[in-house]
Amino acid sequence: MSTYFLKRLLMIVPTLLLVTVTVFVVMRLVPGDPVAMMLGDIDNPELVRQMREELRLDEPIPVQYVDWFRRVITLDFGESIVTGEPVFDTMLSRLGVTAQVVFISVALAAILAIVFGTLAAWRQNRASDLAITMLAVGSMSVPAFWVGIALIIVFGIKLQWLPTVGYVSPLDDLSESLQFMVLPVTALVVAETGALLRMVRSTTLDVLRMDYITAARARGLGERTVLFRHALPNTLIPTVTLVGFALGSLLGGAAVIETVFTLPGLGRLLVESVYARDYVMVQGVMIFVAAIYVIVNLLVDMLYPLLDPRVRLRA
Amino acid sequence: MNGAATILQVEDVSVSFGANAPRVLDGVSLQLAAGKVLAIVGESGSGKTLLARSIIGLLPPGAMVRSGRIELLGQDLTGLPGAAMRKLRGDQVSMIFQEPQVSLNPVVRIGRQLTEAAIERRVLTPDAARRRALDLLERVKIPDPADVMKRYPHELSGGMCQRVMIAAALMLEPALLIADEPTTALDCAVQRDVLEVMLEAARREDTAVLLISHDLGLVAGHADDVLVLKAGSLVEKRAARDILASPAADYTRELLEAATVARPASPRDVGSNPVCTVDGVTIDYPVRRDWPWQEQRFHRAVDNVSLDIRRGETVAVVGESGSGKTTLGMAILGLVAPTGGTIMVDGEPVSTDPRRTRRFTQLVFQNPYAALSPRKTVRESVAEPLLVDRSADAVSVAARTRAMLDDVGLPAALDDRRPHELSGGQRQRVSIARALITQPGLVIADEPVSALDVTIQAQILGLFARLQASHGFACLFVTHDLGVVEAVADRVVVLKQGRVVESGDTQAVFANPRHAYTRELLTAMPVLQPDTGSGFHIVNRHFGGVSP
Amino acid sequence: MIWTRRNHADGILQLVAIALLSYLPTNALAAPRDTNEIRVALTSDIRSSLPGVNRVSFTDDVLIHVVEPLVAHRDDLTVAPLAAEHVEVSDDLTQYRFTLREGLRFHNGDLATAADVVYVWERILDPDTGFQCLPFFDGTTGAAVESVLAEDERTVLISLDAPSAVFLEQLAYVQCPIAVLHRDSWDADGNWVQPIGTGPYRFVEWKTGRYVLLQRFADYVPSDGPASGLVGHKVAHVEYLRFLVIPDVMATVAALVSGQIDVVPLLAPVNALELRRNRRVVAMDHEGLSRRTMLIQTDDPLLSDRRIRLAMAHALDLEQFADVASLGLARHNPSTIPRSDAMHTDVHDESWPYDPDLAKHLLADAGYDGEEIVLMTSRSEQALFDLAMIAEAMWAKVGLNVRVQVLDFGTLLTRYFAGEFQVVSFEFSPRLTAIMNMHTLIGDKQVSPPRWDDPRAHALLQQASATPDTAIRQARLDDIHRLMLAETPTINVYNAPIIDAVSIKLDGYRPWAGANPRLWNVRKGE
Repeated sequence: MSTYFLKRLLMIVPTLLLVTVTVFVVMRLVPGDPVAMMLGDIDNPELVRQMREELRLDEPIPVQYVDWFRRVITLDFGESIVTGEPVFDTMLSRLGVTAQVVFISVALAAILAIVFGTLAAWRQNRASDLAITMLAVGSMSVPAFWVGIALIIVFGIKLQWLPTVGYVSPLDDLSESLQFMVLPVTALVVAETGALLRMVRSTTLDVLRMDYITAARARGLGERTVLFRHALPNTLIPTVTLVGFALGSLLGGAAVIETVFTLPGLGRLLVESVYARDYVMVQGVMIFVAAIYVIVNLLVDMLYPLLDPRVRLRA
Repeated sequence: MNGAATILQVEDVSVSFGANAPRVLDGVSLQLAAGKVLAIVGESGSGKTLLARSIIGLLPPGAMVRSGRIELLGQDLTGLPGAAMRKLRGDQVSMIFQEPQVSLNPVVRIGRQLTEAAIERRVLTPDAARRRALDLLERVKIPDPADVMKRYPHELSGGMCQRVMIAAALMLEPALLIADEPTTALDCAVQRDVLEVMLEAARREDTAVLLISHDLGLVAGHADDVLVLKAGSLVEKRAARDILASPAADYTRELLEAATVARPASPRDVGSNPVCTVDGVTIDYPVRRDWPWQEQRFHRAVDNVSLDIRRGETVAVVGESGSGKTTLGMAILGLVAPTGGTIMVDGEPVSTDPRRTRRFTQLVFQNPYAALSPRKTVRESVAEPLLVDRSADAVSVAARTRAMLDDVGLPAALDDRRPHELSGGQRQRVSIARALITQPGLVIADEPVSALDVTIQAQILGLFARLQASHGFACLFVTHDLGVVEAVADRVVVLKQGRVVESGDTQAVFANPRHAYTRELLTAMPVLQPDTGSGFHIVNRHFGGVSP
Repeated sequence: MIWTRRNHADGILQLVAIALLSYLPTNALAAPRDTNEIRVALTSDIRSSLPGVNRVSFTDDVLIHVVEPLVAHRDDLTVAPLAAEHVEVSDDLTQYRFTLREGLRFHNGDLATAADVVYVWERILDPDTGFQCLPFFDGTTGAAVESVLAEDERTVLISLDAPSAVFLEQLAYVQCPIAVLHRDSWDADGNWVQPIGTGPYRFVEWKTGRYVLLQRFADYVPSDGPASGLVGHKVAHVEYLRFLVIPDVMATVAALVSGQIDVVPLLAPVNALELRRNRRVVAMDHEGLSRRTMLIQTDDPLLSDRRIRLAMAHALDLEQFADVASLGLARHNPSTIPRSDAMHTDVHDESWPYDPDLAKHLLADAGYDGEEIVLMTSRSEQALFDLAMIAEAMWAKVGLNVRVQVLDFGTLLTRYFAGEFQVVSFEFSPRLTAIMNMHTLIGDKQVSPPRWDDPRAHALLQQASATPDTAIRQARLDDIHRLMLAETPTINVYNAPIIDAVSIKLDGYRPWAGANPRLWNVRKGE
């Protein structure tokens, strides 16, 4: 088992290497120059030259890459071209914000999906199933940002119950922090639950058709035991994979929701850095996001043996 | 019947899928007393499983009891609310299923699956439930029950799982145990054991048993009464002894005949030159390595096997799953390269170059449904091998195809059907026609009848024998079913863990098996033999002596 | 494994529900309603807090409250002393003597001295600093600063190597002020920390990507005279200023309407119109300085023909064009000099008459035969995109085959700087003086490829810059305008209107041509 995970861990290295090369080259092939972005319409060719030299933008791309890579392996991601702040620190603090929103959202979405997906499967083709399935389809068809805007209009503007811009760290003020979390978390939960729920429902339906469910019923077990002790653990196995994907992709890709709710998260950092052609920051964030994605999915895989005893033996 | 209390009384029960659909179970009645065993026998689609499930109230979605009464211990179960029915399950009636490994929840430990119902319903304390479970496991002859309690289903063999299922079904001392094909999915060596263990355990608890099976031969010896179902209707219901001795209905007789071993009528015209020689063949599969620098290890699937097959002859390779019998067939086809030894087919070494070998050697698959392309019609599927070599013109291809289909007994009306529009037997006929159309010298038949009902099995085996006589091909018959071996094979090779443990003329081997394993296999299989009159009797084989 | 015990699962759900319910309606939005804090929305982060180096306009928005240069602009864009009490200019325009304001004090309590000013000048003009406006002072454009001397505690003398009529205007340039900064604004290694200035608010903290917080400087002594532009009697009424980074316009407007922020500077006209119906918010507009223009590459083989350029101008109904593009909030201004500037005389209202027939005639004359002209634009600023779309349609009417190419702003900027375009819809950020505005039009193509490189224009601009005589300067600027009309290196359309959306809770807020939101002299009520 440990060999399996060690292997998975080692596989991260070539993945990330590929990410770095791609990002590095693509960023430099895209027209647009960080220096120009910084100076705007001010004419100062001497300053432009000087800044390009400082940022070593005039050297051949391979030389720049090797130079950058040598530092990255010591976790020195350099400094932002734009703000001059250390990239690594910036990423960590931004990740904190994103992780807070995403973990809460995905956890809630998973709980909702499991509870209602199981319920829907159990009540297949009844009114409650139909209602739940319709809501799930609705959730799948509305993009998160749309939900976000709707929430802002209702709870921010009309009712004025909750703040819609900004972020407060839970370490500073827990109650205020939660207020800022409510709307973005709700938006993500609404957008993420649908797909998960549909998956839980169809998996549960499959599981409920299995012989061991019939056998459990034949032993005289109550429906609740059948559903939660016998069906659910089996449903969880594929569900956990999907939750892992959602977690991984949202940690790096919640940019839209972060923009709508003005959360200083990792996704927004990436988007803004791309627009500002902040090469160093984009490179750092991309490798960071890729690493998060791979690691989150690795961690999810490590959950498998807990959920499925068959994996323990195989690996 | 014989004084014991009536446990189950089924009166005129009909079942259908939907209110207006045709009845898939039509007016069946039966009666079962405590401690008795009633066998319900029928082929697939006869409604035997629906009958069982309607008793325990676990009909598949959509199916419903349309009429009739089902009385368990005097209580009518039809129309009983779900909660009340649930109380009866496990407690008064429980059930064992065909596939033990999928009937146990893969992610729940054996111990909990055994005890949870008793604990949940507060029938037993956790401690008492555990003691009862251990006791039952012992009774179904599971070694080290305490250890098994801690295991997960996938860590046990199929036979062990079924024993666990039996124990679980008996936990709450039910009055009625329904066993739906309890041994069909098990390796043949353990089938009889499991069946006997189940009946023995039930007898000790004075539990009535409803034993459902497609194999009249297997169950007739164990049941007090036998009920034969066909297409949802009762054919015949008699005491087991009577039904063997003097089957009343034609259908019953048909079932019995199918289960009877029919030896080849006369020795076949067997050539002296082998068309296929397997000499000291060893086949290793590489075991997956964790790291590229690790030493490559191998799993030996076939270990130093030698055999030859002569023209017009059928050689059976017998063994359980994992014995290497299928791998050997693949090697003769040239699909797997042997690690050591040689395989000669038609005088030439088998090469993995497919062109030559595979025209001489053809394969008939176990599951014809999977082996036939769902998009091709019968005609297209059968003609396909001819079209591979472009020498044949369209007219002669059509003629040869039609002639071949005639040979396997498929009427022209079926020519344009696709696999899903055919029955299982018809599909296997198509599969055989496709294999034989190129006039192969050697046919590898890999469990060609194991997916079929017994009566169909008999038909296909008959067809096979007839075709072999007329076409003269040699055949390597891969199977786990000794009954089939006895019916078709001139010679038999018994494989165990990749090694030949015994080989020789079928009759000689069956009459006097020398190896313990062969003996075990043969003992496990009761044989139904026709009486001199119109009846049948069961012969249980016993062999003395010790293997060398 | 929470699922093995049902009670645990229930417990967790209850916890979540309680958490949500208990925090929902109670003290929501309490903090933003505080009258002690004015909140201003910024579209993007400030990049740094060092004036004039790594900056965007949002940097300036924050820093005008924190630091004060020696001189700055009034509302009418004329220059007045700010950190200085008065300025004495020698007749030959080479010696500038500044006397610092009485009681001018740094945020750390120290009194500001002439020596501090000298220190900052040395620091800022060091080429390693990367000061954006270094060309103003090192001789690249006009005179070079020869020396900066502290004559006494409160007097600084700056000497130039040549006369300059625009030196004070350059000093007042809001984008790169040489502010009076305490030397502790840098650390011992010479790295920038944060500004310790002399303005009415002091810099408290900057959370990148989130906000900048300023606090009232209690010891600020305002200068006399009426508040105007960035100078005069400035009083900080509200304790805190918080500049929040909100990139999304929708989010900004929602935050404004729901009272979470108080000021949204420089709103797009579309959004401002939407707010007209809202009773909690007022949109105030003012004539702006940003020049929106259709810039033509005069080096382009096709467009080097003056007749085609002229035809392009005559083909546009510029009055209507400006009206539509600005949603009725701005008038057409053909001049490079904005209307708010005193130098914008009637001459500068002369434009290219709308005359499609003349345009067609000119095209025919030039032998134009449907050659494709690429009009480059970007969606980053909706108004510029609109400009391109409208122009394309109007030009098509006279037979000009124009194709709009939409680029991401970064790409557009790179192409712009390289001069790699035929026509581009572009906006020049505010320049506070006529001369500086002219520098965004006229230049050496070798150095700045997008500029208009015409020896006559160079000469006129040179004369206008050098003369101390306003009448002569006016005349030269008028000449440049006429020459530009004749040559048409660019078609100026209008100056982007300044629209600030402000909560009605604010009292005393006024937008101005300088655009940066001014939050002194502003009170906040309930």
